[in-house]
Amino acid sequence: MEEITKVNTANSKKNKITIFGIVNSTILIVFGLICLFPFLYEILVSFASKTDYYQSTFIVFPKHFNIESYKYILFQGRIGNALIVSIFVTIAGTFFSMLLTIIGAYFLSREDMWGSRIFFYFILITMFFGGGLIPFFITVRNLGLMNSLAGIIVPFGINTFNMIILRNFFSRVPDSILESCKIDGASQIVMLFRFVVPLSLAGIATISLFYAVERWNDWYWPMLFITDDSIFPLSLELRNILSAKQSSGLGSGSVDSTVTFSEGQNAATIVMAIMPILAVYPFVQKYFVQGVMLGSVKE
Amino acid sequence: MAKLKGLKKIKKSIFEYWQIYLLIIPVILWYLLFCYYPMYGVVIAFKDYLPSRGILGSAWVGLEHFKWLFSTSGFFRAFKNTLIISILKLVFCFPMPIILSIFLNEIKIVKLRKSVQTAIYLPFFISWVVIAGIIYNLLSVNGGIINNFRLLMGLDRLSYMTDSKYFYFILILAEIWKGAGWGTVIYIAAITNVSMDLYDAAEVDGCGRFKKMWYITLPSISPIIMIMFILQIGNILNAGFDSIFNLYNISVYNVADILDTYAYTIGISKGLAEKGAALGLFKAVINFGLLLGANQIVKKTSGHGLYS
Repeated sequence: MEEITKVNTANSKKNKITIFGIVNSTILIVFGLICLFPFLYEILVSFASKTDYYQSTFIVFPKHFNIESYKYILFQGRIGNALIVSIFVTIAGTFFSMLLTIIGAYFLSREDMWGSRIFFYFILITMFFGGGLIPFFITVRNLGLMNSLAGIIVPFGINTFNMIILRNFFSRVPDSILESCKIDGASQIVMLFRFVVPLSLAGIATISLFYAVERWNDWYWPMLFITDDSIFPLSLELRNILSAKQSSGLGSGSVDSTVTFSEGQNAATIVMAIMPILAVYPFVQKYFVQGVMLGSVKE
Repeated sequence: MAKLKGLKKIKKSIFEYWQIYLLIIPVILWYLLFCYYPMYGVVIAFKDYLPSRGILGSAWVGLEHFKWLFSTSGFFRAFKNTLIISILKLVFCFPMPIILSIFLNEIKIVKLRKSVQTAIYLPFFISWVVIAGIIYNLLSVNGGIINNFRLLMGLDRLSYMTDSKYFYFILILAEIWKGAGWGTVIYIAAITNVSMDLYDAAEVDGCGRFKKMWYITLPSISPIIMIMFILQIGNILNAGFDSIFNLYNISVYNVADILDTYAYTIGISKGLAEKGAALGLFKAVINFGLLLGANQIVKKTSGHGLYS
């Protein structure tokens, strides 16, 4: 598994600095900064005080490290609670999804197993056809999963796309290793969890991360399935805060406290919602990229 | 004889892998329960649904819901907006990752290239709820950065989000911001698969950087471009629920309401489940047809298709 460091132009031999090179790099650096800037902006606003915000002439620059907005949302709002809910749902959901997906991917990768092909078409069809929202809704309700955290984890346990990518990772484990396992008398379960999984750690990490991001960001299904606001996940809280703004379409809020302002609270909520992703992202980003690239090529 | 052999093979497989077969049962159960079972419910589009009777027990009304759908002005407005937005996305959003990846490929300093890539992938992992929140803040009337800038220039403040004039502009920029970076992953993978020999040969023939891009890089990744293009066409009626749902508000419904948000409005908010389902079915059928059609056309013209 090589990292993609090859650069495909013949100029790489000469390695000289050209005007094109400078202009090109500059434009792309600017684009990269533009991608990052909005997040930086929100962090700035979240630490700003009301006066800082309304007095700002261009970019809000907090004069002091102000945590009023955070204090408000974590203690007076429901955000503190929602944070815990989101963390639980993400961890439990990822664990649940990975369990099912690993088994399914392994089954798919063992092409000598009878039914492997059939199973592949079985899951492929579900990627293109579905019953639609209402029947799905009714099914979940009939199973008694309404208004529960299980209801936003279990029905979304498997993402077929992820399973196929993981299958491709599992196929890469050399047959010779599996052969010697068999000779040593290892059972299939041992083979799967003690050998195949550890040998495909990159794939496991990648798919786990995909699932984690999916669960953390999910607001739509919680919106439909959960009515008890004490178990709203963070993304749904953010969504509710936003839509309260939507009806007026303006950026100002009506908070009677003298030190908080809605943009600051929104910014603090946004920062809380993206903090885990921002913190983990630089380290795991290469897994995502490798995962997508390696996973989409079948060997 | 062959059948006996087949059966023997199955028996052997089960004997050897029985643990896996056991483990796979919950997985199959999950699919049956949450993917296949709800499929029967697609008939709700043809029925007069009463919760007390359940889907199967409700009366059959044929194409009544479809007829109703096509008679509402909301449907045609949503349909028009969907097409406009999809075409805008095809023209502006689709080429972005391609252009980005080609020029990204030209950066020779590996550390720099990787840093830029890290930066541009990030927005993809942030949900639309957050991104919409950020956009609202940036465009905020009172202290948002854009309006602050306008004041500095001596202009008035503007409420961008409630003005339908700006909606498409904001939407397309947001879509590019979120998706263009991650979209480069596929194309960069394709570009790195192009053999260096081609570039060397071109160098010998005296090709400059841009000629190499045009005659080697682009044609080499055209199969993957075609595949992505076909998939986009198959998605024309999908114009993007997540982004629009989080960015729109009442003041911009006339340009922002698309088929998916309209289906949501009538299906969930208004509780007209059958009509929402009818719309969903209508969309799915058309999308599928478009996918097949686009695949055929591209196959005829370039020899590549989704299966080639």
